[in-house]
Amino acid sequence: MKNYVTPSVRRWVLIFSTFGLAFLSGHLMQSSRGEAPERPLVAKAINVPASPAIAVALSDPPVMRDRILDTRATRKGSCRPDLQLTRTPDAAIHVTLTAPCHASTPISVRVNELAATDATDARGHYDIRLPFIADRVTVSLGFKDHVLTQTISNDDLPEQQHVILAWHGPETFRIRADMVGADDQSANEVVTGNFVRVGQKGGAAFEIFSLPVDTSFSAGVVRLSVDATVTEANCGAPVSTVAYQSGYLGGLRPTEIAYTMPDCDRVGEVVSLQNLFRDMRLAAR
Amino acid sequence: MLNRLIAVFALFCASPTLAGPVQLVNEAGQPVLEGTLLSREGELFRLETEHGPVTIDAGYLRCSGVGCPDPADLTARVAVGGTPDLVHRLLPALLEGFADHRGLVLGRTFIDDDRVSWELRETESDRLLAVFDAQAMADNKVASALLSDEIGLGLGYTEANVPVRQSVVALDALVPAVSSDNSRAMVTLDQLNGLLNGRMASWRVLGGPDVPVEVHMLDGWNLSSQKFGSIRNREGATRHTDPSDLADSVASDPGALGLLPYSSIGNAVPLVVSGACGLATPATRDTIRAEDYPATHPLFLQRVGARQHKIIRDFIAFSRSPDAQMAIRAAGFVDQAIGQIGFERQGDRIANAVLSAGEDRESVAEVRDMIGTLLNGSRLTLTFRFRDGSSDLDPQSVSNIQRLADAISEGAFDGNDVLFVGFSDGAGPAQANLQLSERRARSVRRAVAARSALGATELRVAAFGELMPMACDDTPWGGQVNRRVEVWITPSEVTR
Repeated sequence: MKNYVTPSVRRWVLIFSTFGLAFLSGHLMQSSRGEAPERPLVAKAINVPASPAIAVALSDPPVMRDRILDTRATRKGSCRPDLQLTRTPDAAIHVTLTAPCHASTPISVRVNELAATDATDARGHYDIRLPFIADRVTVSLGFKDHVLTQTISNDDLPEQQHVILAWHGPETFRIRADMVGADDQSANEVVTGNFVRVGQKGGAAFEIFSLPVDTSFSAGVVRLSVDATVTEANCGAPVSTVAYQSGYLGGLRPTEIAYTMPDCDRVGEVVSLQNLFRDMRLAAR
Repeated sequence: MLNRLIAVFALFCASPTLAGPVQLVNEAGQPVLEGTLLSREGELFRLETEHGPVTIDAGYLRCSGVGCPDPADLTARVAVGGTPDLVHRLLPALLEGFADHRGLVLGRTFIDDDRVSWELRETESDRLLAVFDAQAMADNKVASALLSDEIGLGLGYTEANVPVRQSVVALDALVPAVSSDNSRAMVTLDQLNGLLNGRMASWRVLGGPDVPVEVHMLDGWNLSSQKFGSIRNREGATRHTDPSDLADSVASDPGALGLLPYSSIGNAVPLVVSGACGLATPATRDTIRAEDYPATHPLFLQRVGARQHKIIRDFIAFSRSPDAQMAIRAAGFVDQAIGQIGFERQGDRIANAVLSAGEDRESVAEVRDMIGTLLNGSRLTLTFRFRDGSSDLDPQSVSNIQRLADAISEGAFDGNDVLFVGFSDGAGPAQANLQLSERRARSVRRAVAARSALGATELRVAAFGELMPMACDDTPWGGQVNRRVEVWITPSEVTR
């Protein structure tokens, strides 16, 4: 019986001290400000000076245990998760998340209506580039306990067209873009250069392919197809995805897609679905 | 027929026992009919009422009461057959437009590259309203598939000559096309015929490199390729069932020459075809809408006389509506929205008129008169043309009558005059041609007026005979392009 403090006792001490402090500081705040907002009490209780991390906490209050862990880390350095959206010179969005206290941590990624699951790297960084899939793009990165949200607007960027596949589970589909017989060889580079995939295998993920609406290329058509790989896991089984394409009224239009994979004697083959997306036009005719 | 019998039988078997009182109410919630449901075929309800048995189309009504059928049994299901481009590009665009228009959710199941099943659901209840089972087939199979009940809706390039109801949903055109690596941009009709039928086997004949001419054509399509001369038995031509495949083959081969729909041209480049007199009209959205391009093809949505569910009928009506035109255009087809082409954009045509007019004072006066009449106006993209060697309007023009009448009734040209301007080809005496062109303009005006609520729009007629040719009269297609009634919007004579 060397250790008198069992884990359960420790938990009670922790809860008591936290609530005690909360009660105290709440009392103080009430006397000083004449109001009793519930959420700031917790923040005050852990005695963190007014920092931007609090602002995040206020918008989405975490449970107390994590708050205290955050505080410890804050003493060592900045633990505040920070999400920045910047516009790159080539008219894309650079998403950077710095969360040193959330190294190798799962995150949920939301980009307007699209969702994916991913993870920060060993230093707590998460770094992706996204196209402007709408005039206003809102990116939300969520940890288990709180969410960071930023919005960026596309004021005067050249218009782009997009197709997107979104799915959940094993990676089955890939967008393919082909430009047959285009008179401008460099057009082929464009076709291969604008894919973005977000998400990890097994979770929610999406793939975006983007092209400018009007470019210096002569009129041309990019044929879009979707490749589906037949695997042991999906052969003969129904698979589904949501396909988004810029609609004729503007804006991305989702369509639920269902497909039954070929039988298991075709494992390893790649099936090409030709008519899932409309062709894209490089320039108006 | 057997299919339908089986379908009806299955429907009755699947329906729960029909008994108990039902009340049919309209959209405003007012009761329309009460009684006991005796039987049902789709949305046709047969009710025992106090006045005896009554059969009623319940498509526009809501059923309440214990005797009502399960809403799931009311899901509409229709098989759609058509050419690959129409089934895979036009139909999705129309369904997307219809879903947006009605606030429905659209989903699709891929069966294989030829078959797709589309589902329309209510947004909130997720109730399945309609299923469109779409299947790609050769153009020349659509009519027989409709007649054999294999499909309930057909999409094709061929005007049906069997008892089928059809409407023009979009426009297209047959165009000759080459690779962008082929420097040839224009050929005469005679040269094109030579290239297609093998008389000219190498591009060298036309001053190009010594590369053999590889001809690509569509298989099983009833397109009016005879407009390009006799090429029916072209041996050695590569045949394609999907026009997109044809376009890709042509685009990637500098020696290739293909005949394909304008909407599917992809990265191939259209060849402009001129007549012997040098006049040429390239295929563009405007020249196809105006049917100034000679090989224009209407796209037909066809159905047999059988009753369709209300939602299918609504879809058919939507596909012809102004709301559908943007979706049709976005899918790469030529829509039927009525556009205006200002006088200042018609320099080529005016130049043709001046150059082809005689040098005597009378001819010069006629040209001056025509220019004076049209100077302040805009030409509509909608034009009336006639079947080969006939005074009957062609299918696209028949469709145009109602379209123009609707636009006039909606007040699209209020405060202006709509001027029907008749033109003829150059065959025969000029005076007779002038009279003929005026007669045609009057008959088109009459047909449009009969369907219009005129309001503040005056319909007038003018005729200029053979004064403004658009194509060379030396070919049948040229004559057909020249025989036309154009529609111009001019400032009202009253307010002028």
